Amino acid sequence: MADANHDNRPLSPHLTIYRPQITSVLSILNRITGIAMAFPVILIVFWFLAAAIGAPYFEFVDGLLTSWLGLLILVASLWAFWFHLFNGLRHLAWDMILGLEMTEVHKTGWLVFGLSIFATLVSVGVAVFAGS
Amino acid sequence: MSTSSDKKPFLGIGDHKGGLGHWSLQRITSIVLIPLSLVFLFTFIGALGDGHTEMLQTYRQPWNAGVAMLFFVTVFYHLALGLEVVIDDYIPNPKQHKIIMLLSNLFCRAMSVIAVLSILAILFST
Repeated sequence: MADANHDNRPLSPHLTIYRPQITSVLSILNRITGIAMAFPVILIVFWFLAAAIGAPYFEFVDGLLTSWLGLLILVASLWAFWFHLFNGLRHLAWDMILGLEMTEVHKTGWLVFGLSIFATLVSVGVAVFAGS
Repeated sequence: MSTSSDKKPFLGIGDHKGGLGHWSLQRITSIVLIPLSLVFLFTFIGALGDGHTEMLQTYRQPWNAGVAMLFFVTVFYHLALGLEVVIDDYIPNPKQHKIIMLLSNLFCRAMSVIAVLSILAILFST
């Protein structure tokens, strides 16, 4: 760093003093869900790897994923997936200069949040129904 | 309406040395992942918890195996691109930045290879 005083400079308050808004919360959630989903995706890779190695390995990983903890992780990931998908569409719309007015940004923000909850409930319902 | 300005003077300069390619690839992979992740997800949910035989039966079908392989390759590329931006934002030290970026890319590629090899093994198993 060119600045000798780099570590000693005072930092003005930022994240801690701002009221959370739908825009800022969804922005950081897009990042968090994207990074967090790496974990379940890696679990699913191990599910495939175990299946390729043999039945006992597969039963172990499949059992982990369908345990109450595994299902909790998968349902949370499902919400992360739907959120990241819908918010990603919102980002792609912005890239095409669509919906950039502040009122629209707020509206689509709440829409994305609502849709992510709704899609999670529906897909969990479908999974439970298909599993029975 | 054209949204691009003359980009030639800016190519290859700046902190990132090539942000335009990154930006485009992030969007291309995201668009590809919309149908791919949905098809993959519902096939996976269908096969989860149904036992080894059922799982093999599902992923011995070329369509399901192909979708799964494409999904993992695209998703780990998309993840590597996403991690790159996060590392750019939060790791200011150039040396640490370089090492963590290398580890991140290595990890994503390794997972991608493990996924594809596993699915190929299932596809060609008898």
